[in-house]
Amino acid sequence: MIAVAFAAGFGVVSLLRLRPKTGAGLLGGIFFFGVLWLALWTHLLLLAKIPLGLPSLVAGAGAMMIAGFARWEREMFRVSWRPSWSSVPVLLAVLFGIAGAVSWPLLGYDGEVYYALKAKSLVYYGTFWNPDYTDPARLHPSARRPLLIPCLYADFYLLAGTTDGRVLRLWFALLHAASIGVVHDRFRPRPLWLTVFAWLPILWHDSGGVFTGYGDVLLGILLLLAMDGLRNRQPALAAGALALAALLKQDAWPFLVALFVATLVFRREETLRTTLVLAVPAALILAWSLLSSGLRPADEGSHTYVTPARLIGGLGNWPHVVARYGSELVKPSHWGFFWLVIAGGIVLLARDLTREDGWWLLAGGLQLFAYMAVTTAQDPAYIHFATKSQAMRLAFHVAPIFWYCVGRRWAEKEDYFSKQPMSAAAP
Amino acid sequence: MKLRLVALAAAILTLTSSAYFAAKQVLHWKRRGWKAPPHEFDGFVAELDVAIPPNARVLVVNPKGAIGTKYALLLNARLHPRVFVTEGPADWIVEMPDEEFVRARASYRRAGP
Repeated sequence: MIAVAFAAGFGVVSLLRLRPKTGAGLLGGIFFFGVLWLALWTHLLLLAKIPLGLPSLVAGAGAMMIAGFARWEREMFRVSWRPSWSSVPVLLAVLFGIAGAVSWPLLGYDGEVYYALKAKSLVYYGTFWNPDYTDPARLHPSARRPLLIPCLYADFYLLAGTTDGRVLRLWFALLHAASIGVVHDRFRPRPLWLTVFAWLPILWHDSGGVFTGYGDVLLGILLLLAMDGLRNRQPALAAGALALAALLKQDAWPFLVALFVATLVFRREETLRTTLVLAVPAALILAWSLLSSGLRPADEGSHTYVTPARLIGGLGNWPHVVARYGSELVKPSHWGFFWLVIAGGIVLLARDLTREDGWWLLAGGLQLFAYMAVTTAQDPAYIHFATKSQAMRLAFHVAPIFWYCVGRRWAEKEDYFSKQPMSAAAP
Repeated sequence: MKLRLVALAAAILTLTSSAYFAAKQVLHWKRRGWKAPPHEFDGFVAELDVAIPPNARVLVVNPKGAIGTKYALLLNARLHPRVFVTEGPADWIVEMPDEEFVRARASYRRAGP
């Protein structure tokens, strides 16, 4: 199972020429992109109505590995294995997070309730065109949601032969741990970010948090990678990350629209490049929307599907939603401290704002907009539920980009203070 | 220096909170004898797994007549390919004494004619 993920991940890292710089970035990148490539491949198979099974899954890993070999260069995998002191707290935090998530009762979080059912059904029938997804009399509250995480679970089921909730949480936890390596590599050579990024486990709250199967933080990390890819002119990385995000959660859909509009307004010279990148996730969204329209509708009172009509119809809910989130997020029990630190960091940035800061603030702002837009599209009862007991999920979504935005500058300042003057370092 | 202190505070707070949550949960697990909690529920699932054949239609009800509860969703995921339905007809009925699925002892029976 791990070998298949690593084979696929090697192909992705090589094909996209990601050029990891550290051991953590290399191992994390191969695992992270390998697992996600397999999930994306599975989703593509389903969209193409090709029966899902072990041979078709392994074919996806093999195809990516061969493609990777075609672009392989020895230098791409020459990395620094020198450990950093700042990786110690991150490793400890990851271990605590895994221990917490694995030991928390399997009481019906998304992983055990929704994704396990969807994954079992996909493996059992080989397609989502089956009675579990189409029959309105069957218990399946969200049949039309995109299937990236269920595909990830289905891959695990096919390769490991189990859908045990605890093992799946461990797999999901490893994916999150690997993502830290990936993001660390994007931050290089800023060493302090690791410590700052170690804040993330705060979000692994006492019900296991992200490790219980929430896609929220994963979406935040994918959007962070996509925005970094766009900024650094790595269109393949940006398109791939946005494609994954689009098939992960519907919250990515209004983000893509908002990103397009923001490009037209603020980066007109990048319009063509950005449009080409956005065309990839847009095509997948269109394909999924068309194919899933025949599946059973959402149950009354549950999280409904995002459509342009519902977003427009929910425009009147904006003041209410913003006020509700605002009042909930200042409460200490609802991540008030997280928002306080983010707000403080942004105020510090505002004294000396650079173009790069503006880019990341824009990205965070787009994410806030997208999340709230999805909330406004819901029924009033669900809006109340989402803005009260689920308010922490907004923090899950925006944490990676806002931490990157703030932590990056802290790390730069730290480097500045700790380095010798340039004249002294010169030969 | 201020930034170093902020970063240090961030790291300490992170580690303390995640260690606290982890310790709380691991102790909770230990109290249950290292069994996958909730093991009462696991035992019930194992019973149903033997009693109800694959592809049978199952309806979950509670005293309020509610269906589609978290309890039903959990059973649905665990017992696939049994077919959990939101309306009749059903081959089997799972009855919950209340909505607290961890503590409550649910029962099951064949659906009547």
